[in-house]
This record gives sequence, structure tokens and C-alpha cells, in this order.
Amino acid sequence: MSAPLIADEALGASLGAAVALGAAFGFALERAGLGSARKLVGQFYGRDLAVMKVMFSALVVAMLGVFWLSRWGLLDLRAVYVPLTYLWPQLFGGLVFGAGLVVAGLCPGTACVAAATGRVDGVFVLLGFLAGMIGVGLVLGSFADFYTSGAHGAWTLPELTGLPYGSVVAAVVVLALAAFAGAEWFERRVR
Amino acid sequence: MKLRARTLLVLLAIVSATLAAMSGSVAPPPAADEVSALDLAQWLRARRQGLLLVDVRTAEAFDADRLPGARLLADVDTAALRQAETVVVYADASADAGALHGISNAPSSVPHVLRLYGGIVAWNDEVLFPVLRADASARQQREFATRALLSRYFGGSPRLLDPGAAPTRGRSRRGC
Repeated sequence: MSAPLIADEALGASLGAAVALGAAFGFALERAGLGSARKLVGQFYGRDLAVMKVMFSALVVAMLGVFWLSRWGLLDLRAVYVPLTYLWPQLFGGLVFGAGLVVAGLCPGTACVAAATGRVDGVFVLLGFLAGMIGVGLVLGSFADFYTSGAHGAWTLPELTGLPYGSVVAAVVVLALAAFAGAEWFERRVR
Repeated sequence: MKLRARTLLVLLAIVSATLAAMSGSVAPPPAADEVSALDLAQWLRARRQGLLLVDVRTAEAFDADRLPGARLLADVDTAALRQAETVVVYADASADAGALHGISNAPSSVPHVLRLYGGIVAWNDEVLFPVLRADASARQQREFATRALLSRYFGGSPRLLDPGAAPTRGRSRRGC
């Protein structure tokens, strides 16, 4: 037997798994202190780089887990969804997202955590997201060409670089460890 | 987090990443009793002596699509097995151990019985119809040229995928 264990057609099971995984993700975010806008914004002032460390840790753990589970035949990587790349709108979206993160102090996941733990700013950020989604949906037709520009399909780093999958995994781990060391050094200097 | 636990996690990450780099591919390697489609294609192209391909699927599936020179399991007699040095059995995705066991235990048991890793699906995907992304680098295109030659040798046709025009997966996922 190999993962994914839930078929695409099993909508009820998929939604159940999504709720369980979402709750676990929210719990992990809250335990890491990322439900607090002050902590998230500390990243941009160089006071507290916990966001980068938590997210990079999650990325490294997931990446190594996916690599070895697939290598041992326990995960069918072909059945795992890879988000499609639309280079230009995603670069633009990243800039807008970053600006919103600095202003609001929360991203979608952490806003849910903040709202669930009774923080009023989290509720208002979620309302802002809803308003933004509705607004974008209403005018999306006018930007359809830009929305689908720079399309590269399901594009991965091994495909982009032509390097073996394992080498890319190793390079990302080295990058993460260097980033952790750099972040700790930077935090000590700022304090 | 205590320094000792953190050091342990860093070491674990370094060891795991080093082993990943040494492993190279994310796909599980063929087992000792399996051969990859690309290796089998090279054997066939080199006209390896004593190679016998056995199709363990139904006769209808065999008639519709089969590997070059393959024989249906029901048509393989003892004489053919006696002459073979290496027998490769295949099914749609992967031949089950039962077919392998049956041939290994035949009265004139052959010394080397292997399963085709990924079956005829892998043969079609990797040998007959390999795919090159339209945005591939020059190096990737050069490497693909070898695969394309092998594909054409067996009557296949290499495919060029425009990743922007043909998204391969329809489901959507978002979040941070």
C-alpha cells in the first residue's frame, strides 16, 4: 500500500482529512507562537526570526519525508498535487502578499489561528481576506491574460535545474541550515 | 529547545540529506528481481543472447500491445525456457510474484528470472513515449536526445510537452 491513501473521488474522506490536518497545522502554528501578529511582524524588524525558522523547519521535514517515503515505495509521488506555476502573476501576488503580511501582521493560516484563539485582529484580517477574494473574483475577467501569463505547468526544482531530485533535496537542506545559523547570528546582533 | 536536541536534529538532517544526494532519484530503485524499462530496452537493442520476454497478461491485452519479441505465458514451452538465459516477465503495471515463482519453478528452471519494473506502462512511458518539457534546458535537451533515439528505434515517438498549455493536474490547493 502506498500513499496518498484517500482517492480523489472520496470527497467526504478528503474533507475529513483536510479538517484534521488543518487543525493539526493550526495547533502547530499556535504552539510556535505564530498566532501573534507582534511575533510575525518581528521578522521584518529583525527582532524575531521565528517565522522563517518554523516555516523552513516544516519545509525541510516535509521535503525529507516526501523524498524518503517515495524512495521506500510508501508514497506515490505522481499522485501528489504540484501547484501549477504562473510566473508573473505569482511574483506579483507574492509582492502583494508580503506587503499585506507586513501591514496586517498575519497571513491566511496564522489569521485563522489568531481568530480561533480569540484575537480580534485575526477576525478583521480574515474579513479583509474575504473582501479581497470577492473583489478579485469580480474583476478577474479583466486580468485574465495576466492571470495565466508565464505558465510552466507543474514545475519543480529538479526539472528547472536538471539536477537529480536527491541533490536538490540536499541543497535545500544546506540552504536551510545556513539560514538558521544566519538568523540566530542576526538575532543576537539586533538584541 | 535544548542544545543537545537541536544538535541531534541538525545531524539527522545532514545525514538524511547526504543519503538523499547519494540516492539521486526519488523513485524506488528496482528490486534485485526487477529490471527497469530503460535497461531492458538497452538489452533488446544490444540483442542480448538468451533473453526471453514473457507476457503474463491476457491474450487480448497481448494482442493489443506487447513488448518486441515477447511471448504470451501460455505459449512458452519448456524448450523455450531451457534455451533462455534470462527471462523477463511483465504485466500491465508490475508482474506479481506468482508469475515469477511459476517460471522459476518450471521443470527446466532458468537461471535468471526478472520482472519488468513498472510493467508495460513503464515501457510505454519511459521507452516508447518519453516526454520533454518545452522549457527544458540545453543540457536536458541533449540528454533527451539519447532517449529519443531509443524511442524511435522501438517505433515510439518522443513527445514535447508544452507545460503552460497542458496542465497535468486539475485539482487546486492553496494556503500558507
